[in-house]
Amino acid sequence: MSTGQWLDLLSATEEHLIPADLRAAAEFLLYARNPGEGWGDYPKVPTDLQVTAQVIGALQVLRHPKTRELATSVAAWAHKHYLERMPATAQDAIGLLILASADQDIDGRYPEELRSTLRAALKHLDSDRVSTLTLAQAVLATEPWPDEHKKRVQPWVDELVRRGQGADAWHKARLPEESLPVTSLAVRALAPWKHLNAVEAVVQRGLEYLHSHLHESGWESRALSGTYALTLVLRALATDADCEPELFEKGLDLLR
Amino acid sequence: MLSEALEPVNPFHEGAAGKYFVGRDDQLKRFTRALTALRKAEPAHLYVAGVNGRGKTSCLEKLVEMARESDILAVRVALDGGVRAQQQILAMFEKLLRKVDEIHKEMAGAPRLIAEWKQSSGSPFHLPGSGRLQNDHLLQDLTHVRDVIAELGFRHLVLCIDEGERIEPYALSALKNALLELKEYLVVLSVRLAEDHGDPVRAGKLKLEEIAAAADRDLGAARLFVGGVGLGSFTAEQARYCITRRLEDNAIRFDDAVIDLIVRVAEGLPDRIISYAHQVYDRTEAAETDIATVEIFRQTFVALHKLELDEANALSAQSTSSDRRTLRELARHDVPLTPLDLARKLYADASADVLEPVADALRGVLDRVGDTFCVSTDGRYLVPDPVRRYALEISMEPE
Repeated sequence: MSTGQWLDLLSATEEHLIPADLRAAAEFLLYARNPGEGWGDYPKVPTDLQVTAQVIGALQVLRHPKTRELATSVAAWAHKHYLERMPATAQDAIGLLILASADQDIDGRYPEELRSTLRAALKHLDSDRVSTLTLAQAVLATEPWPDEHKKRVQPWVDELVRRGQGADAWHKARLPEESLPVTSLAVRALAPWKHLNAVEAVVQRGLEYLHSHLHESGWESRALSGTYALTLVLRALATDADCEPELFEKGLDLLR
Repeated sequence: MLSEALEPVNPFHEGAAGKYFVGRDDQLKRFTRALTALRKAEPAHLYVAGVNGRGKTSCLEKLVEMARESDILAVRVALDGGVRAQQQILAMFEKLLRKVDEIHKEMAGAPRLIAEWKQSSGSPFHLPGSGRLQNDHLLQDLTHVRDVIAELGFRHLVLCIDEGERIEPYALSALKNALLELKEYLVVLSVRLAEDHGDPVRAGKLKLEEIAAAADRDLGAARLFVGGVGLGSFTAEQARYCITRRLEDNAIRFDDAVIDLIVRVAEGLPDRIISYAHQVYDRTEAAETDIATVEIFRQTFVALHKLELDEANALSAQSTSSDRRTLRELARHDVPLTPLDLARKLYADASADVLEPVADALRGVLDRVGDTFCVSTDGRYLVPDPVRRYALEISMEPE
């Protein structure tokens, strides 16, 4: 057997490590990629940076064996895209950073430029111009960074904590349709920072809110009728070591 | 003091409506014709009909101004609602006399008619002392007013009755009987409509017929008003002019994009256009700048429509970036679109075989949104409320 054949066999074996009920979804993602670029909203429509970053994130979670290869290829496309057109929004900068990190490009000049762009986009942290969702996405994007870079995003973490400390925590609008996704994303973004006392308290408060909503309204609540919101809540609960397994399983069943 | 005198004044304040009356050229032509006919003792009584906020009161004020410029005595009174016909006519008559007295005082040195109206005995007026509304009394009292104003040199009187949809059936009937005998009066009644179904003149006529029918089917009372003046929404061009006209020679100007946004969110309704422009102007002034920007418009919008924005933000938080793009595109249009129309707009370069399945997916996204924002008819989707449309558009923007 040639080396190439061995590698193909190994790759096929690794693909079988992906849970069976997600294998078709993973295959669909590979099929839906625009050749030489990334992913669009739907197959064969123009590539979009944020969608591409989400797909790479999903493949990383699945530990798909082709993630690394795809991340390198997509990151090259994204870098070229960046050179042609500077990121116009904070979310574009976050998408580019996610792709660079997936390609393990963390210390070079390019990621530093991206970090600087994102810091500039988030400079009015204490105003309504930066939503809690975007702030949480920015903190989440820093997860793979080494500590020396993470220190520089402390103001983002502090602001996310400050917003979670108010009377209504992260659910200011008192609308579960908004509060559940916002709280879930904030909880997940802050989970790696729980060693800080203030962070632990707001994360705990956020988790209590999610639990109380699920106990009162259940997973069938109208606010969780979309798979996107459902996924966000499940991923937030996954960070909670004390989450009741039955509660988590019910949500997972619904997603399946 | 000099700096105070030069302070810019918000040209969108309520009192400026007459000064900046725009966009109703056809209606003004009708008024000119009606005044000409009145001078020939051939009064053609009119009604001005429109849904709330279309500028009925401003139109009546403009008519009063036009009549006075032609040396015709003109007054505007508003009808009281929830009272019987007799009380309604009495209250209206008293308001009429007070306004005529203002002119009497100006020209003859003292008021006259209200004192006569309140006289307990020997009053030339018949309505106050009568136990019920009688046609003859109304005719006699209007004749007396006609004679008094003639002494002041006025041969005609234009009576603009605002909130005319409140008129009691027998009050309308009595008014008709009196006016048929008097050629020196022109009555113009404003009629507020709940809905105009695209034809305010017809809707106004139906409303008057409905009122008249309740007075023993005195349909002649409705036919007294030979013509209707309909007030629809402003066209985009009229709406723009409504704003720019008031900003002529003003230190503050509005960015073109701001004018477009006001026109769009107010959906051509004159009172809403003025209300938004008023607040944008105030914020611009408070920001100590001389140009109203889109950012200032947004601040105004956010302050005015918190509920709609909260709902839109909740929807945004629940949506993927792809869904947000779809909803933002839908919110940019004020006409119903099929999912395929939307797919074509979102992915203009994609081929037809790609767009078909995409359209199916978009249909799913739109169906999940719910009718707070999105309604569908015959497979076409629309955000019908212009305020929610803009709230949705800005909440779905990438940050």
